[in-house]
Amino acid sequence: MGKPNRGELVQGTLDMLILKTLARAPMHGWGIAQSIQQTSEEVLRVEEGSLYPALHRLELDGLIDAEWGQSENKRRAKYYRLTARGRKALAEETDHWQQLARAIARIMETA
Amino acid sequence: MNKFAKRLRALFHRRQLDRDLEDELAFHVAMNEQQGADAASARQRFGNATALQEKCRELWAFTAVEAWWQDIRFATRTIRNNPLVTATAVVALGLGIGANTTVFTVVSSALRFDMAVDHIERLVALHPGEGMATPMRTRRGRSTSSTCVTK
Repeated sequence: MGKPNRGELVQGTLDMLILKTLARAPMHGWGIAQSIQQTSEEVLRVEEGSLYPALHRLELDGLIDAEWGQSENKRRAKYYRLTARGRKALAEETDHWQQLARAIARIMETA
Repeated sequence: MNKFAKRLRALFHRRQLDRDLEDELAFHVAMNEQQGADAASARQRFGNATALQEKCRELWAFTAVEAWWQDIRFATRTIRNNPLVTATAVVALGLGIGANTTVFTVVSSALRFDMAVDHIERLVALHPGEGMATPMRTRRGRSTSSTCVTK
């Protein structure tokens, strides 16, 4: 196996993590990255290079909506918020993820 | 609003899209800086902002169609700027197409084989000394019948 790549996201989970973060409250890109990093206790780090393209893709797909607003420090910031379709997609993704995690756990637990 | 409509809207608000992308990414860098990291390392962590902006922009754009439109505009500009080259190309193309058309028209009418008979597919050629009548080759292919028709 290759060298351990700490903080790198499991392939294909970024969309799910973004949707989950937005399910709590509307947030701007920077806030989403911070939230994922803090909630994962610094294990996961979201690269800006993949975060913003993902946000724009989700916006185009109608899973999230964007609105410009004022940030805490009075700057113009783009806030993303979950749409009804996004909420549905998140539920599906969550189910799928839990199934996958359980399956991997079962394999790893065998002696 | 569906995906296509969103992209179409972005096409007519290109400047705003660019400004929004720039602002969004600038906000991110500013927040990183505020978080304590010094400006240089914040920007370095961010990587190439222009490349990232371009990556996001491509999602909204009709890249292929826009590239095609740019090509057309470039071609039109070039043609206008080099009238002599353009004239040469037009004359060369005109002569070439003209010559081709002439040759094909002549050859086509010289080799045309169309007799004024009904059921040309039933026409056969008779060769003296041979036992069988062979179907005539016509423009419509070989005939399948060996019935001899006389004019």
